[in-house]
Amino acid sequence: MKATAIQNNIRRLRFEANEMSQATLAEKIGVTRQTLNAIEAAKYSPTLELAFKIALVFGEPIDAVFQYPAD
Amino acid sequence: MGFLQEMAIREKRLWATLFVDAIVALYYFPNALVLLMTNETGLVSALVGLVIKSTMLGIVLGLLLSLLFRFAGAELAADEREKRFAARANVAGYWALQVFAVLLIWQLGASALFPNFYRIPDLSNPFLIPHLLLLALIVSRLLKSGLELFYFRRGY
Repeated sequence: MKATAIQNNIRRLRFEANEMSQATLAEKIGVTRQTLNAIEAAKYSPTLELAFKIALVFGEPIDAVFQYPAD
Repeated sequence: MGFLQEMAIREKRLWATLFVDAIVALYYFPNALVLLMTNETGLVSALVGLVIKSTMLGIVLGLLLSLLFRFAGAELAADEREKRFAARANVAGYWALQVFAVLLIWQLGASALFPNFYRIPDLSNPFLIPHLLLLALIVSRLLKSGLELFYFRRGY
Protein backbone atom coordinates (compact mmCIF):
# COMPACT_ATOMS: atom_id res chain seq x y z
CA MET A 1 0.00 0.00 0.00
CA LYS A 2 1.25 3.45 -0.90
CA ALA A 3 1.97 5.56 2.18
CA THR A 4 1.13 9.27 2.26
CA ALA A 5 3.96 11.79 2.21
CA ILE A 6 3.11 13.13 5.67
CA GLN A 7 5.06 11.33 8.37
CA ASN A 8 4.28 11.37 12.09
CA ASN A 9 5.62 10.55 15.55
CA ILE A 10 2.31 9.51 17.09
CA ARG A 11 3.48 6.05 18.02
CA ARG A 12 6.53 7.41 19.92
CA LEU A 13 4.47 10.16 21.55
CA ARG A 14 1.87 7.63 22.72
CA PHE A 15 4.63 5.50 24.19
CA GLU A 16 6.07 8.52 26.02
CA ALA A 17 2.60 9.45 27.32
CA ASN A 18 2.45 6.48 29.72
CA GLU A 19 1.98 4.07 26.80
CA MET A 20 -1.37 5.58 25.86
CA SER A 21 -3.42 3.10 23.84
CA GLN A 22 -4.72 3.83 20.34
CA ALA A 23 -8.27 3.47 21.67
CA THR A 24 -7.68 6.12 24.35
CA LEU A 25 -6.14 8.61 21.94
CA ALA A 26 -8.85 7.91 19.36
CA GLU A 27 -11.53 8.65 21.95
CA LYS A 28 -9.82 11.90 22.99
CA ILE A 29 -9.73 13.21 19.42
CA GLY A 30 -13.14 11.85 18.41
CA VAL A 31 -12.27 9.27 15.76
CA THR A 32 -12.42 5.48 15.57
CA ARG A 33 -9.42 3.38 16.54
CA GLN A 34 -9.23 2.21 12.91
CA THR A 35 -8.88 5.81 11.71
CA LEU A 36 -6.15 6.56 14.25
CA ASN A 37 -4.36 3.39 13.16
CA ALA A 38 -4.49 4.56 9.52
CA ILE A 39 -3.09 7.98 10.51
CA GLU A 40 -0.33 6.43 12.63
CA ALA A 41 0.66 4.11 9.78
CA ALA A 42 0.79 7.15 7.44
CA LYS A 43 -1.90 5.61 5.22
CA TYR A 44 -4.31 8.47 5.80
CA SER A 45 -3.52 12.20 6.11
CA PRO A 46 -5.76 13.84 8.71
CA THR A 47 -7.35 17.25 8.23
CA LEU A 48 -5.55 20.20 9.77
CA GLU A 49 -8.14 20.34 12.56
CA LEU A 50 -7.61 16.71 13.51
CA ALA A 51 -3.84 17.14 13.33
CA PHE A 52 -4.06 20.04 15.80
CA LYS A 53 -6.29 17.97 18.10
CA ILE A 54 -3.65 15.20 18.18
CA ALA A 55 -0.87 17.70 18.88
CA LEU A 56 -2.94 19.27 21.69
CA VAL A 57 -3.42 15.88 23.39
CA PHE A 58 0.35 15.47 23.60
CA GLY A 59 0.95 19.16 24.41
CA GLU A 60 3.34 19.45 21.48
CA PRO A 61 3.51 21.88 18.52
CA ILE A 62 2.05 20.37 15.38
CA ASP A 63 5.43 20.09 13.64
CA ALA A 64 6.65 17.88 16.48
CA VAL A 65 3.89 15.42 15.62
CA PHE A 66 3.64 15.67 11.82
CA GLN A 67 6.42 16.23 9.29
CA TYR A 68 6.33 16.80 5.57
CA PRO A 69 9.69 15.74 4.06
CA ALA A 70 11.16 18.41 1.78
CA ASP A 71 12.18 16.01 -1.02
CA MET B 1 -15.35 -13.89 16.79
CA GLY B 2 -12.22 -11.73 16.81
CA PHE B 3 -12.57 -10.26 13.35
CA LEU B 4 -15.97 -8.81 14.28
CA GLN B 5 -14.47 -7.04 17.31
CA GLU B 6 -11.76 -5.52 15.11
CA MET B 7 -14.33 -4.03 12.68
CA ALA B 8 -15.59 -0.47 13.07
CA ILE B 9 -19.34 -0.21 13.74
CA ARG B 10 -19.91 1.48 10.40
CA GLU B 11 -18.09 -1.29 8.58
CA LYS B 12 -20.29 -3.91 10.25
CA ARG B 13 -23.37 -1.94 9.24
CA LEU B 14 -22.10 -1.74 5.66
CA TRP B 15 -21.58 -5.51 5.49
CA ALA B 16 -25.13 -5.97 6.80
CA THR B 17 -26.57 -3.49 4.27
CA LEU B 18 -24.68 -5.10 1.38
CA PHE B 19 -25.76 -8.60 2.42
CA VAL B 20 -29.44 -7.70 2.92
CA ASP B 21 -29.62 -5.73 -0.36
CA ALA B 22 -27.98 -8.55 -2.31
CA ILE B 23 -30.19 -11.29 -0.85
CA VAL B 24 -33.41 -9.29 -1.32
CA ALA B 25 -32.42 -8.39 -4.91
CA LEU B 26 -31.54 -12.02 -5.67
CA TYR B 27 -34.93 -13.07 -4.33
CA TYR B 28 -37.03 -10.29 -5.89
CA PHE B 29 -35.71 -9.82 -9.43
CA PRO B 30 -35.74 -13.45 -10.72
CA ASN B 31 -39.27 -13.90 -9.33
CA ALA B 32 -40.42 -10.54 -10.75
CA LEU B 33 -38.90 -11.43 -14.13
CA VAL B 34 -40.85 -14.68 -14.23
CA LEU B 35 -44.07 -12.80 -13.36
CA LEU B 36 -43.43 -10.10 -15.96
CA MET B 37 -42.71 -12.65 -18.69
CA THR B 38 -45.84 -14.67 -18.00
CA ASN B 39 -47.88 -11.43 -17.89
CA GLU B 40 -50.98 -13.14 -16.56
CA THR B 41 -54.19 -11.44 -15.44
CA GLY B 42 -53.31 -11.54 -11.74
CA LEU B 43 -49.97 -9.81 -12.32
CA VAL B 44 -50.62 -6.83 -10.05
CA SER B 45 -51.62 -8.89 -7.02
CA ALA B 46 -48.72 -11.30 -7.64
CA LEU B 47 -46.26 -8.39 -7.78
CA VAL B 48 -47.73 -6.85 -4.62
CA GLY B 49 -47.34 -10.22 -2.87
CA LEU B 50 -43.75 -10.46 -4.04
CA VAL B 51 -42.98 -6.93 -2.80
CA ILE B 52 -44.46 -7.77 0.63
CA LYS B 53 -42.47 -11.02 0.86
CA SER B 54 -39.25 -9.25 -0.20
CA THR B 55 -39.81 -6.49 2.35
CA MET B 56 -40.40 -9.04 5.11
CA LEU B 57 -37.25 -10.91 4.05
CA GLY B 58 -35.25 -7.67 4.25
CA ILE B 59 -36.63 -6.82 7.71
CA VAL B 60 -35.95 -10.30 9.13
CA LEU B 61 -32.44 -10.44 7.68
CA GLY B 62 -31.72 -6.92 8.98
CA LEU B 63 -32.84 -7.87 12.49
CA LEU B 64 -30.78 -11.07 12.49
CA LEU B 65 -27.66 -9.25 11.34
CA SER B 66 -28.29 -6.50 13.89
CA LEU B 67 -28.26 -9.16 16.62
CA LEU B 68 -25.17 -10.85 15.18
CA PHE B 69 -23.14 -7.66 14.77
CA ARG B 70 -24.64 -6.06 17.91
CA PHE B 71 -24.75 -2.59 16.36
CA ALA B 72 -28.30 -1.79 17.43
CA GLY B 73 -28.20 1.44 19.42
CA ALA B 74 -24.43 1.80 18.92
CA GLU B 75 -22.86 5.16 18.15
CA LEU B 76 -22.80 5.46 14.35
CA ALA B 77 -21.37 8.97 13.95
CA ALA B 78 -18.75 8.93 11.22
CA ASP B 79 -15.34 10.50 11.61
CA GLU B 80 -13.63 12.42 8.79
CA ARG B 81 -11.99 9.35 7.22
CA GLU B 82 -15.26 7.43 7.17
CA LYS B 83 -17.08 10.44 5.70
CA ARG B 84 -14.45 10.56 2.95
CA PHE B 85 -15.04 6.88 2.16
CA ALA B 86 -18.81 7.48 2.05
CA ALA B 87 -18.38 10.50 -0.24
CA ARG B 88 -16.17 8.59 -2.70
CA ALA B 89 -18.60 5.65 -2.73
CA ASN B 90 -21.56 8.00 -3.22
CA VAL B 91 -19.92 9.48 -6.31
CA ALA B 92 -19.43 6.01 -7.79
CA GLY B 93 -23.01 5.03 -6.99
CA TYR B 94 -24.30 8.25 -8.54
CA TRP B 95 -22.32 7.64 -11.74
CA ALA B 96 -23.62 4.07 -12.01
CA LEU B 97 -27.17 5.35 -11.64
CA GLN B 98 -26.60 8.08 -14.21
CA VAL B 99 -25.06 5.72 -16.77
CA PHE B 100 -27.96 3.31 -16.35
CA ALA B 101 -30.52 6.11 -16.70
CA VAL B 102 -28.84 7.43 -19.88
CA LEU B 103 -28.75 3.92 -21.38
CA LEU B 104 -32.42 3.41 -20.56
CA ILE B 105 -33.44 6.77 -22.05
CA TRP B 106 -31.38 5.99 -25.15
CA GLN B 107 -33.05 2.60 -25.54
CA LEU B 108 -36.53 4.08 -25.08
CA GLY B 109 -35.86 6.88 -27.55
CA ALA B 110 -34.19 4.62 -30.08
CA SER B 111 -36.91 1.99 -29.88
CA ALA B 112 -39.50 4.73 -30.57
CA LEU B 113 -37.55 6.32 -33.45
CA PHE B 114 -36.14 3.14 -35.02
CA PRO B 115 -38.51 0.35 -34.03
CA ASN B 116 -36.99 -2.07 -36.53
CA PHE B 117 -33.47 -1.78 -35.04
CA TYR B 118 -33.97 -1.13 -31.33
CA ARG B 119 -36.53 -2.98 -29.31
CA ILE B 120 -37.00 -3.57 -25.61
CA PRO B 121 -38.99 -6.77 -25.32
CA ASP B 122 -42.57 -6.27 -24.21
CA LEU B 123 -42.33 -2.50 -23.83
CA SER B 124 -46.09 -2.42 -23.53
CA ASN B 125 -45.84 -3.95 -20.07
CA PRO B 126 -46.21 -0.95 -17.70
CA PHE B 127 -44.13 -2.69 -15.00
CA LEU B 128 -41.01 -3.16 -17.11
CA ILE B 129 -39.57 0.36 -16.93
CA PRO B 130 -40.15 0.73 -13.15
CA HIS B 131 -38.39 -2.59 -12.65
CA LEU B 132 -35.45 -1.54 -14.78
CA LEU B 133 -35.18 1.67 -12.73
CA LEU B 134 -35.45 -0.34 -9.51
CA LEU B 135 -32.67 -2.60 -10.75
CA ALA B 136 -30.53 0.47 -11.46
CA LEU B 137 -31.14 1.74 -7.91
CA ILE B 138 -30.18 -1.60 -6.39
CA VAL B 139 -27.05 -1.94 -8.54
CA SER B 140 -26.07 1.60 -7.58
CA ARG B 141 -26.63 0.84 -3.87
CA LEU B 142 -24.65 -2.40 -4.05
CA LEU B 143 -21.80 -0.60 -5.80
CA LYS B 144 -21.82 2.15 -3.17
CA SER B 145 -21.78 -0.28 -0.23
CA GLY B 146 -19.19 -2.51 -1.90
CA LEU B 147 -16.85 0.35 -2.71
CA GLU B 148 -17.15 1.83 0.78
CA LEU B 149 -16.28 -1.59 2.22
CA PHE B 150 -13.31 -1.81 -0.12
CA TYR B 151 -12.01 1.51 1.26
CA PHE B 152 -12.57 0.30 4.84
CA ARG B 153 -10.65 -2.93 4.16
CA ARG B 154 -7.84 -1.05 2.38
CA GLY B 155 -7.60 1.31 5.34
CA TYR B 156 -7.25 4.67 3.54
